Amino acid sequence: MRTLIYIIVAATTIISCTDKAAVPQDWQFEKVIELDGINPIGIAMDGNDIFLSDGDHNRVVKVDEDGSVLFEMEGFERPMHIDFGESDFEITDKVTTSLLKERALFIPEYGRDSIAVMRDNKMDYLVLQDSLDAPAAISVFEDEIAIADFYPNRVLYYDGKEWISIGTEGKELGQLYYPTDVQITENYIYIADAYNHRAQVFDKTGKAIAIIGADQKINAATGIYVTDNEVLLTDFENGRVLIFDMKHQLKQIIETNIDKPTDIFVQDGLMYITNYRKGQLIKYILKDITHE
Amino acid sequence: MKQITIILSIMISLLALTPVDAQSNKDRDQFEVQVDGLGCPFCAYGLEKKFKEFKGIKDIAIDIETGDFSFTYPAAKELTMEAVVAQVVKAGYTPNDAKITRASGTVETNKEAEKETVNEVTTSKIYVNGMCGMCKARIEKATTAVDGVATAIWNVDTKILTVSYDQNQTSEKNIESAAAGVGHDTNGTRATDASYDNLHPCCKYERAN
Repeated sequence: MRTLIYIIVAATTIISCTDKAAVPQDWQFEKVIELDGINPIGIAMDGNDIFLSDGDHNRVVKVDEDGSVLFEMEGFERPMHIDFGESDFEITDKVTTSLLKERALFIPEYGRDSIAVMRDNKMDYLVLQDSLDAPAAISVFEDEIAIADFYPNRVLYYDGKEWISIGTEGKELGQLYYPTDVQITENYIYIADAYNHRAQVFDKTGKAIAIIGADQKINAATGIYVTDNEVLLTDFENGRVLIFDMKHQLKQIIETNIDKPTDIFVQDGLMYITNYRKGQLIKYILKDITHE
Repeated sequence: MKQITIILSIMISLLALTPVDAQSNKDRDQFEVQVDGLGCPFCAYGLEKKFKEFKGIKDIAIDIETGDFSFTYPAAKELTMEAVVAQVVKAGYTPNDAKITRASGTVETNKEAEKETVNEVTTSKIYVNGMCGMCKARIEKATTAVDGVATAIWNVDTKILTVSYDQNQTSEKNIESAAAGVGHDTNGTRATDASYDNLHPCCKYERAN
């Protein structure tokens, strides 16, 4: 009898938890964070620290939740979509070459055709086997790297052993037209295919898997971020962020206070969107949908 | 109303100050180009990147909103209008009006001669398909270039072109043809697929079947 009671209590608990988890949620506007004198292109976070690439002013800044600049790193040439990562990547200070063995911030320099690697205020450059022409974004995932190479209409992908080139110029599945952002996940590579006005998904052999958002009248898909559950895509000219599920079906469109967005970062139920032209960070929170 | 503009400016440091570089702006030519197709920072930075191939370039400024692009260059190098226009095209964009103010004070432009005075003005409203501010610049430039047109203003929201013109010199049909000629469909005239395809990716509006 006691066992039966335990089973009933356990089952009730499980059902209760399941019900709670099933409450539908969506992204809801939280606040505008004004960035004084910053025109953010890319965003990356290290813990709770927010890093922004300020393309117009050739610097990367670390800001707090109020938008105050905590410190800045200058001397870049048009820094774009940045990312943090850690692996044994080959780096050079232009004199010697070594292996990077610690967490670092990777900064694609659009105007210098290089990938800067910053750690502890020391700057090196990623050693590449191929030349770049206006690198717009980098993604680092374990020992893998992907670089959105804007003018050649391709993404360079390093799987930990060798580099491959993904995409050629065009509009069909597998072709790109000015890629501006990229993210590697466990199994796939997601690309913001900016002037095809969509995102694309490739597997890690470079095979095109899917097109996302082609029917959403996007005008310049400048930034992409992928979580376990969602693919988020900025629509630059229309001032929107489109949110798709992992089957690439549209879930939500957010627009409040979004203006010329270039990038997104999601962490722990918080979303930060960079408003390039207005110099703002827009914060959204994932909340239960309430019916009033 | 304050117009929202983003001015990108850079000071390009050279390896060393040469006598030419050490001179004041009076020894530098000033270049101003209105560029079609600059929609985002990626485009603007790309234009800047291509122009850095001109060694000695300085004072680069790009206004993404208007497409205004300017820079200075050593007068002694005698950079030509043709070279500047060609470099804009090489970067993937379309140069519109361009002006060089030489250090000597001489001004060169690629602008057409001012049109003759319009006598009998009629105003029409024409639907012209398009998307954005760049479309606006392109549509207005193409239609005001038609002989007999006094003014042409396109509304990005309504997609209506309000045009004033001399009926003795031109017609609505001619004006529609001018818009279609640069890739923009009107109710009466459809742009060729080739001219539509030539539009900047930002400007590719949804066409009616």
